[in-house]
Amino acid sequence: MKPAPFAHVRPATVAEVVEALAAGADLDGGAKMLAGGQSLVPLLAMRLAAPSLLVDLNALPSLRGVAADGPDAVRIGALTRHADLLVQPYSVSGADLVAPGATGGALRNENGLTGPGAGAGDMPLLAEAARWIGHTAIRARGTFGGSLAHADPNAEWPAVALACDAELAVAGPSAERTVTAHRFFHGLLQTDLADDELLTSVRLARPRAWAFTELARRHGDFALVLCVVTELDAGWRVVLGGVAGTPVRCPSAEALLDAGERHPAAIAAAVAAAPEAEAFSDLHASAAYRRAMAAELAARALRDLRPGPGAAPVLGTEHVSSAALDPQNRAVTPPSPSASPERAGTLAVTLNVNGRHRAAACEPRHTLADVLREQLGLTGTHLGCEQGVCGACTVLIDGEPVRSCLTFAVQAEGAAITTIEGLAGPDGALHPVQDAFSRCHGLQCGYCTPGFVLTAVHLLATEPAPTRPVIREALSGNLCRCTGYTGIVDAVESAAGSMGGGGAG
Amino acid sequence: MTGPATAPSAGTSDGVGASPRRKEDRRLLTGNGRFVSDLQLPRMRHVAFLRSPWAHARIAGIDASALDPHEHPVFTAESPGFDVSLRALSALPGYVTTDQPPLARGTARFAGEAVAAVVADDRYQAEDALERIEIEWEPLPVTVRAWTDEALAADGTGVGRSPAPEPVPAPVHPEAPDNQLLSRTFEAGDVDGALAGSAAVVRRSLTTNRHGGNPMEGRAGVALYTDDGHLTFWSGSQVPHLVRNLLAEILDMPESRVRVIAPDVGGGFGVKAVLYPEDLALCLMARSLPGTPLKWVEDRAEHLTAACAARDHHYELTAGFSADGRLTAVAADAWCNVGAYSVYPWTAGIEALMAGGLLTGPYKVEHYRCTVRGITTNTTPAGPYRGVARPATVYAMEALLDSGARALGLDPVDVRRVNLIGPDDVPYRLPTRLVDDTGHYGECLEAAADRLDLAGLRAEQARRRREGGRPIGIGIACYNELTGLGRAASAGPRMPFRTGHEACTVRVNPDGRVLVLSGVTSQGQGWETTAAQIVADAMGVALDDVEVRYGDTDQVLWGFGAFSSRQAVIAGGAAHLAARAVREAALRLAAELYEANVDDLRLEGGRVYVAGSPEPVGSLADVARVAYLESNRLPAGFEPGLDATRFYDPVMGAFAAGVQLAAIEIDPATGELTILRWVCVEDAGRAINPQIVHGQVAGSIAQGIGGALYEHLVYDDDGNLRTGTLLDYLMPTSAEIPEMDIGHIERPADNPLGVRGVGEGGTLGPAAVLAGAVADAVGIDVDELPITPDRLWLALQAATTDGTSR
Ligand SMILES: Cc1cc2nc3c(=O)[nH]c(=O)nc-3n(C[C@H](O)[C@H](O)[C@H](O)COP(=O)(O)OP(=O)(O)OC[C@H]3O[C@@H](n4cnc5c(N)ncnc54)[C@H](O)[C@@H]3O)c2cc1C
Ligand code: FES
Ligand code: FES
Repeated sequence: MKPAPFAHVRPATVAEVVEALAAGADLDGGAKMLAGGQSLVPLLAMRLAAPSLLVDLNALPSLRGVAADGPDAVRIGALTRHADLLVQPYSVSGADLVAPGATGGALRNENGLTGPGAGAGDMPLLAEAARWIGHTAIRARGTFGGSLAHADPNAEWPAVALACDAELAVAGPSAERTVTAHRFFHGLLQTDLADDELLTSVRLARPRAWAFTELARRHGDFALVLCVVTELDAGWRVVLGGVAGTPVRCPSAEALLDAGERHPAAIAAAVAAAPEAEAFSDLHASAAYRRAMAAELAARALRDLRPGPGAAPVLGTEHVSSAALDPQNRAVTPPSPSASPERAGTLAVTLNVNGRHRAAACEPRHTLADVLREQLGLTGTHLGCEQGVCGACTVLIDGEPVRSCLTFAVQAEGAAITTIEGLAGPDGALHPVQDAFSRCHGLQCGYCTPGFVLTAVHLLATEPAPTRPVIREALSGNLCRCTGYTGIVDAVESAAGSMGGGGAG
Repeated sequence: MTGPATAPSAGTSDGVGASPRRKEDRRLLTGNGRFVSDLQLPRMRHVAFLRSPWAHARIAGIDASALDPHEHPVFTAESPGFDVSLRALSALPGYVTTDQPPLARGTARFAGEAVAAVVADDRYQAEDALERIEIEWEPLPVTVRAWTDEALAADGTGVGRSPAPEPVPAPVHPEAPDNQLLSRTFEAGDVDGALAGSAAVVRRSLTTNRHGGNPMEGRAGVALYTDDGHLTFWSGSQVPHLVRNLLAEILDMPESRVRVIAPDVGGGFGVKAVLYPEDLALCLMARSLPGTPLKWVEDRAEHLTAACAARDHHYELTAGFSADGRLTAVAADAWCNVGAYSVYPWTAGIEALMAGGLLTGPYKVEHYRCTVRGITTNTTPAGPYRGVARPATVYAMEALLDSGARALGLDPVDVRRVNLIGPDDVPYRLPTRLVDDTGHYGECLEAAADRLDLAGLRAEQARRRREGGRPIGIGIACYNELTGLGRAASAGPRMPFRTGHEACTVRVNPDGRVLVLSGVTSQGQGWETTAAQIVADAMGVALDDVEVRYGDTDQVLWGFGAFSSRQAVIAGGAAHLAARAVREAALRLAAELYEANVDDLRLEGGRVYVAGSPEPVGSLADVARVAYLESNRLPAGFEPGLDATRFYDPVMGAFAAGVQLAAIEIDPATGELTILRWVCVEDAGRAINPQIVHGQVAGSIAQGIGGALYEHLVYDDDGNLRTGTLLDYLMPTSAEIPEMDIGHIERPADNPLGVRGVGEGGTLGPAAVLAGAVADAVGIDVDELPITPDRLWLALQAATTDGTSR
């Protein structure tokens, strides 16, 4: 399961992206944009997609972040990671987000960075929805824009976008344009984007009240069905995901809410009868079940309505100069992963692994996992699925757990990579997490173990005293076939204790 | 809360009965594991297989002319040497032997079957090359299910006597025009008479879901043939000696020139106890390319479509009960989908014969009739998977008992109590003539009920029924796990070999430290540690001074490998016997050297003591030095060296008792099922390493839960696998698997170590427990697995509309 060859280019501005897309359009396999790679790379690995050119958006840090867009809306950069939206209030750096055609309506602070309290404030609906997306490692890489562009009907963001009257800013060869969410989603994995267009940012109305409910087979799976209910200035929105090829609104239910009806059963009945809730059957659920669950989730949403917070605090913000609208000027902050010219064939790549600079010769299509294993001899990183699901290949990149099977080695240049080989002390002393795995029998065959250990190291760095349920949730992006997880959870709990976190349930 | 029920057996701090840190842990935790997929050799090249996109199709032509044959050698069934086949043999009357070619020959019989193979410098380029091979296909009609509605209707009676199967339009193998590769009827007593005289007769019709082992490391192999005629095959195999034996036979090579090495293996669960066509193909290719090591690592997509799966069964069941809940008779018809080929060496009979042989489980049944069949279809071959057939048969048996209890208005636990084989009944001869010599089921059941707080949960259940609240239900599974099968009860269906024994060599090196060469292999079971504990204890040396090697056919005399919960019983027995023998030899020599009576000597911590004196007179190292380096000091009649090899065969086997109970809660609005509590009590005999035993039980329960609630290999009518990635084939994560309360009763078995096997038992319970718990909670019989929210909700809807919910 390895991608076909492609050339890789990492533009630093939106204009360069558009240029690269135009150039790539003439190639045999065309061009494709790479954002978080959490949906695209599995397709490349299965060779269901085989573009000739991969236009990597990850050198556009100006597209990562959340900003207030007027008092009643937020603007989210297309490159904003799912994880960025989990932590409130939003204070993500590097956001330089403006509405296309705006003349000073958008907000950002002096240096292009939004500091604590000076960002987009809260939008708890986004944090709640982000929680449901995959697992830590998926959320660390996957992007808001990538999810919308991928347009999986069972995904969270498309439904949220529809429920917040999203306006999607699209850049292309001609002038930037804005598409409403309503018009953006055409069908299963189909959007309004042309091959030479990219999504740059999305404006979401801030709901006055909201609820998000979802059913999934396992923790972190795509939704079987989900329901987002919002109260916007423009009225109520009831949006269902997972019933049709795109997220759908339920006008009859919305009309009831607009008319003041708040009874969960009434709304559920409207959803159950709505032609929009006409559902499909697949492996995981029948149409009848999906439709019924849409109604059930709508009822639950009504019971669970929560107030949206007030408008964003307008602190230290200023009007954007029109200069910021010039795509060439977008990268006001120095991009951390620098732009790179188009590269193909075998390349010399330098990776910073476990504190050492290691040289490798690889093609753009070589995954970080394969380069670590095959070229650098770091075979502790294992492959169990090459689809991002099993977590065996998890490594830390700049401290964050990342699927090395979904990351290309060329993308990891300049970052600090930690693999399982880098955890023990220089004297060979095991890291407390490694030690606890051994003490608590947290491993049997040991194949899944490196991924679990690194995920646990990250967990304990962010949450020093997790309870057992928290540990179980945090590790749910890693599969172990041997242990039944008991020993692993014991180990992480014990490591927390020995690392000073202690006191966990 | 999750500790063992009883104190570990007495022993030294790291000997038998203790849980020292595992010897294998450090390398696995630091990224220094030695998995086949990690292996790199000079000149190594990589192999990728082109697999059939059709479930059943004739191969009209293969065109690889777009590839440079030097750069990318391509192999097909037409390549020199590829005219050989795997033929799994069985002496079962009526068994149809079929060929499994290394690469599909003439016809592809399942989607995912390897048709061609290509060599390249890395896997990326190998997959590039696959795209340049053209195959012309002529699709054939496809069979996906092993039973037809007509067959079920024709039988329907569930009395173990169904009509003969009919010829089908496009049989999978010409040798079996009706697709039936085997059938056997087990019969004891007078079923019809007993049923006629029963107070209640219940029928169930159950379908279990195909799923598979999915070890986190897929299959992997590196084959190197050198031009001096030696083949080395590194393989993630559970059965390296069997692999050597067969490769030598098929390749017509002396066994001494074939070496199979199974280093660290990332999980097996039975899936890797098979010799696969890809393995054979890889070795044949290596023979064609002498000097070039060829590596193939199975990816997950390949694993899901081409590694053997299991548990695709249908059961028509009837049971009779007396008024007090005693089983009067059990009759059954079972259809097992064996997939497209009879897997080597276990044959297409592996599941069907196990199903018929152990269906009645730990319950006393005198009158029994069961017809089982293995039906070939255009799906991935079925093979051994942890628990072989019994997760399905335990589900079947417990479903009958639940239905019986309900029909008679009896408490379901009481119905188990009166039917379980008890200590007074042993030795108990099962209706299939196997002998159960344990009878500790009742004890496990009572202990499990206490740990679950059954009485408290029943009260809560009643309260919720009265006052409202999500329904809760309790499910029960009692099972007997036949472990460590000796020659008289050997695993597998009458194959031309018996897997009852295992060899072990224990060698004292000149420095007095001990090397153990064991015939079984390990895929995570911690054998390196367990074997060392056994030997350290039996010899009287420190655990640190014992090294264990396994998995290399050049190092180890003989072993069948790891399957069928046989490691501890058989290989443990062999290790113990060999260690005792070396200890004796060392002491005999010591007696001469120290001029003492051998009966007064003992070995402890590697030192030699004479009775009555607290100070050692010498050490094992001193003795070993003489044995190897100072032959001038060897007394007359002593050979140099200090080692012993012993085989062990338990002849029968050791039944391990197990009971699982769980409480679940159902959300009727969504059909979601939440596990509230899970209890398992097993009799694993004497636990050599309680922590490892615990881990085996927990891991196997988790796999059982996966099979009951999530995992399903789904084929469409054209034979395409629709669950070809781990986003569709759902394995449970830490968020789905509950905390488990695992208890042990230790009733030593009749073998040198008093042990029983524990590898599989846990998988046997969950399907029965969860299906039973659903019925208990909401009165809906679960007749089909897995139990999904969708199915449960639909059943609840149907029950509400037609009022059938009890
Ligand atoms: C194990 C696993 C579990 C997951 N679970 C969930 C889940 O529960 N819910 C969920 O919603 N998602 C889930 N995902 C998918 C994940 O959220 C992806 O991150 C997301 O769907 C795509 O975002 P990406 O940034 O990774 O995009 P990529 O994979 O990089 O790209 C996806 C597609 O969008 C295009 N694209 C990306 N960015 C742009 C842009 N700015 N403009 C135009 N086109 C663009 C790409 O060309 C490509 O076609 C899961 C993924 C994995 C591997
Ligand atoms: S998640 Fe990368 S190999 Fe499974
Ligand atoms: S220890 Fe084997 S997969 Fe986790």
